[in-house]
Amino acid sequence: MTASGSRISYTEAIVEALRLEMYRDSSVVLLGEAGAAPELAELFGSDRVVAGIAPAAPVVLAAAGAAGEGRRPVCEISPAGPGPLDHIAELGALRLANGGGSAPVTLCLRFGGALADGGAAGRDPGAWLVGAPGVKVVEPVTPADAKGLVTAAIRDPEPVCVLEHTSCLDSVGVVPEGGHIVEIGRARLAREGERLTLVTHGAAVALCERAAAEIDLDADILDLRSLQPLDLDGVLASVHKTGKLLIVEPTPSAARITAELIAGIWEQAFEHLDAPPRRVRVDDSELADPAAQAEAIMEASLELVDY
Amino acid sequence: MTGSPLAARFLSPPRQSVRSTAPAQSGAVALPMSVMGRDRGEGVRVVGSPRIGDESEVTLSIGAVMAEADSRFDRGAPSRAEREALLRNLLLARGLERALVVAGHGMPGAGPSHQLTAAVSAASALEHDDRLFLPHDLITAHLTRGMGAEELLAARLGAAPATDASGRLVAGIAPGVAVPLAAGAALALQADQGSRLASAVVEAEWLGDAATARALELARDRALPLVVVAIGSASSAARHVRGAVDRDQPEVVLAAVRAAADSVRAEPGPAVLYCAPLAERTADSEPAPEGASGRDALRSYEHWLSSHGFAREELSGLRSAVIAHVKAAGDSLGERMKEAGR
Repeated sequence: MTASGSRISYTEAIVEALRLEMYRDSSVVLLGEAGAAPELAELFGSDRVVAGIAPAAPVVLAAAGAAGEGRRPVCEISPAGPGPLDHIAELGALRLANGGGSAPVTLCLRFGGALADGGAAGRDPGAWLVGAPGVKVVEPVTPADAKGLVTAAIRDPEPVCVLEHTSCLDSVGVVPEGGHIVEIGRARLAREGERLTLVTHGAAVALCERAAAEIDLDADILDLRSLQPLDLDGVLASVHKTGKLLIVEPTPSAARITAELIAGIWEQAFEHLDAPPRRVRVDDSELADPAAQAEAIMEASLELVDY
Repeated sequence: MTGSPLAARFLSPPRQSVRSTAPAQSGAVALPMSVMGRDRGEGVRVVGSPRIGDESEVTLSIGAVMAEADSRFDRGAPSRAEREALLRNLLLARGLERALVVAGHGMPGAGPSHQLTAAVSAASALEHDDRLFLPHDLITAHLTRGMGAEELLAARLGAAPATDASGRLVAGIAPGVAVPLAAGAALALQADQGSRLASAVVEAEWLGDAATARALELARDRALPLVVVAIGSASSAARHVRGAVDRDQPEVVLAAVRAAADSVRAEPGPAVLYCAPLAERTADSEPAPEGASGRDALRSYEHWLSSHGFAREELSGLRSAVIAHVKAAGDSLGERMKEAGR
């Protein structure tokens, strides 16, 4: 334990957020296959921890039904297969169709890494979810952000998807004690610099930090944390300072975030740009070579800095 | 067939009389007792994970079926006031759907009127604080939950939300999500330990949908207070389903859903009620011609009531009042939409 908090893992941070919120608010219930359920079930009972739900069950929709009864459900789901993602989109659409009323559902989606199912669990649900109306999407990569964003998601009146990449689960960091909230829609400044703005998220954050450290890059590294809504103001502020933008997307298929950011930069910061914005797509699967990925980031970064 | 009061209710005069008054014409056969009596003694509670295949091979996988009807859940015949309210809601629902057709929002004969009769009857069976989840095309059944005619028209047209803050009205949803949403509500209601239950009314084909089937399994595994009313359209399929009730007899549906709901309140676990046309009839898509009471559930019900305590003048007065009410609702909504520039 440090002066500002405890050193715990990403997974422990999520369980701590769930535990504190379940103590704080009796309407918070947990629905899921297993995960954090055993210890929380012991603390809160089976009425509030509904564990052992079959993987194929429409837990997202069931959570929406429970939310209609005044609960704040937190679901642990696997995004493998189209079902859960379709249901999340359905949930957002339903909320908007009914006048945008409250639907406080938190959906924790663990993805990445596993290849045993043919790669289905490895697909990045962010690529599907960003653009789904009526749903917020966050992707914490540090234990502190995991705790803070899960807490914020539970307290949010709208559906929030919390994306948990398997590469982050074992990471350890200092996490503030007690109630800790990270505002949804605010990026994290992971590294500070003057000559380049490097925007990234998810598993690519570590790759960017590694690349920047290796070449002592004088750059802001912005970990988006919130994919929907995006912190365009935060990105604009950094671009105003550096004049150069590099976006590092962690999956080959995810283009919406890049498109949204670059459109925003062109519209609102064109006169501040000293070079055309660039994008590097990196593969965050277990099969990818991290050194090669970092190399691609270094190369693009240096080209932009020297532009 | 058993001799239990509940079984007797399903064989009670409303059904017999309705059918006996139907004109014997091609495609509309007066219902023989042997068809109506089929499996009626099995009661209404069909619990499990139903999957309905094509009509030739119905595979309703039944986890548990009550061996026989339970007389504890037989409330007897509806009161006169209940019958009047039921008829009024049926007429209003029909009137609102017709108004939408006239307004150009549907094709004549293609509306959900056949399902709607059963949906309104099923919704009438619920208690005030029960939850009801309806697909958008059956939203008119929310009349029974206190939603006004004008609000319903607006919601049906997509001009207003179909859900209110109390949670009692949840509609405007795709049919495939009704049962999963209801299962989630049932989870919460179960934890509240009250007597409330959640209910969904869907077309029977949705019982074969993966999300619906998994939601029913969840409800079965956790013994949730959930009543699902599945409305089928094929009489040939209905005859293969044990415990099916006649979709076209409002009081039969009302009694069956009440019995199912009472049974769910008394003993934890979901109930699935399968309603389908048990009479031989032509395709649902064929519009029922005026006066063909044997092929129109609402007309048949009115006809039966006319010989069971309701004067013809009283019924025509009710019909006229409903028509005036629908017209006023339509006019008022039209004004509102005009003011809003829509």
